[in-house]
Amino acid sequence: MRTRLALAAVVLALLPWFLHDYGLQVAIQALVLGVFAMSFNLLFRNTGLLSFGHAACFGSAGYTTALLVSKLRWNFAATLPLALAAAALVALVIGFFSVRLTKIYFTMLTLAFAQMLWAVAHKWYGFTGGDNGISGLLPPGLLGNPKGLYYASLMALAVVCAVIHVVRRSPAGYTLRAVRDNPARAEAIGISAFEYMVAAFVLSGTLSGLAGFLQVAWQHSVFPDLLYWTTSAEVIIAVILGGSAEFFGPAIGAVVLVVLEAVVRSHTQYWPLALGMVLLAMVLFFPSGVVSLFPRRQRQEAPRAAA
Amino acid sequence: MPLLEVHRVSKSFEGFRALNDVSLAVEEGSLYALMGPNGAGKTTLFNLITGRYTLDAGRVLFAGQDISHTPTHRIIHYGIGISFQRAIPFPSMTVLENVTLAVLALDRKTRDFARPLLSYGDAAKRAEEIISWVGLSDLKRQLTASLPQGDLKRVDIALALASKPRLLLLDEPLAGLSRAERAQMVGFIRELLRSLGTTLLFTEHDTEAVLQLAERIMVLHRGSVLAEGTPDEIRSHPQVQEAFLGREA
Repeated sequence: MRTRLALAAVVLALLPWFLHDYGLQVAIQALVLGVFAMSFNLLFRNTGLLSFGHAACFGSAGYTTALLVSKLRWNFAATLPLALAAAALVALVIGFFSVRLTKIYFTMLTLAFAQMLWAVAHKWYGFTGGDNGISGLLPPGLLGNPKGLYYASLMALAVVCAVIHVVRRSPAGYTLRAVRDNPARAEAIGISAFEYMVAAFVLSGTLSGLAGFLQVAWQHSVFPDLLYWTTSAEVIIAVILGGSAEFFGPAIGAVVLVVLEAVVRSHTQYWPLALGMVLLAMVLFFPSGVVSLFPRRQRQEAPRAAA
Repeated sequence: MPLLEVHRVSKSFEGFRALNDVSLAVEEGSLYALMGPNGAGKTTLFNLITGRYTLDAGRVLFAGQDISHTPTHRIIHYGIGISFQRAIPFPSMTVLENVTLAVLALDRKTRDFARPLLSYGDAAKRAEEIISWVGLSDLKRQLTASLPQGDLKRVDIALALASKPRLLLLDEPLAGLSRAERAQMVGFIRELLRSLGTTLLFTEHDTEAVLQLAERIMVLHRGSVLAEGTPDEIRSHPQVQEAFLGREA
């Protein structure tokens, strides 16, 4: 596993030197979606909660950066802490009200919250620019250079992966899995399931905000579609494509989705049709995602003792 | 003063009276059983005591403290260990991870998002001790998802023991077990409680097992108390004989 990781790190570090401009743009887009997908899966994989409102966290971070840069003339990079704080706050509000519900009711409530934020961004022309959005947000320095933005996005992905890895092994990570596996049993060992699900939502939403910040750095603008349900759907599709059960599955799914879209769109305008067919094939033949095509490392257990 | 007192509790579900004006007192160090057929109200009473259901009427006191409307996750911190009828410990974790998590939950250390779970040496050591009490040391690194029902029950009891209980509540500890596993489980629970000195309240519909294990028994029937007493008193109770022991009064 470590060899594979080291190999992947070397390939990713050298990649910008072998890509032309368009290829580099696709790679940045894949990394940003990878950050978003890994963050989303922190909630989905560890708690079983399927949020259809993560666009709210992603977009609120993006809008915070855009508003601070355009209206208050902040340095682009300096907006990151407030962008993350905005994503965390939005996640706290959505999570606080939504995690009381389960299954489809949870999903629908998260969707409703995100759509409300989208409606505000879409109609409030005086503040958010409405459906015209806010453009001309070229970040200075490292983030304004495609290679620099690629490495910043790669570092963001590494940080998010490291955070998720640490959380997974921590008591809080195990607690989240306990709540997912059997909430009643978790309560009966002294765990407040509600508190931990809100905490997971906030952490996942905050990391999604990092992706939102990078998205603005990449596209130099924000539009209400950052908050729209299709953004939430896109991250879910990336997770399905890659496989939510494997650690790097969502990031791999993001790469597959972005590269596939770039390739298909270069040949035909029927990308949604192709995506539908790919999803159909994945769900029918590879429900565990593309990572199931690779040999898996089995978790080691002690042998069963003889009776 | 009894360790657990239940005062005139009642519970209805959509107009159906599941439990009607039931009271009981469990003395410290005793083995107390709630007996009755399916639908008698045993599990409803269990869930009212453990805070899973809210009371319609009545009170529950533990060591003199009113815990009537206390949620389950807080009740554990009073010194009550709970094991459910359908023993489903956390299947994605090993036995050791399950019990270590329960130990850390009691110590309120599960809010740590950084340090690895098994690096808590004291908690892991205590978990190993509890696992050895329930006889699963050889299986501590096994995923619980792969264990048979009898071992799952033991893991579930280990989770309950992790809360250092003064009172252990077991809901149908013999449910789903084979005849041989039942006999083993009765012996195991008796030995465990003898060595730990913990008070036990358990529900069970297996009459013979209850008469073997309990020191005091309450018989529930259609949500009400039919009889209460020692195993000998219950054996000779005319209505219990007629209803459950298959003999004419």
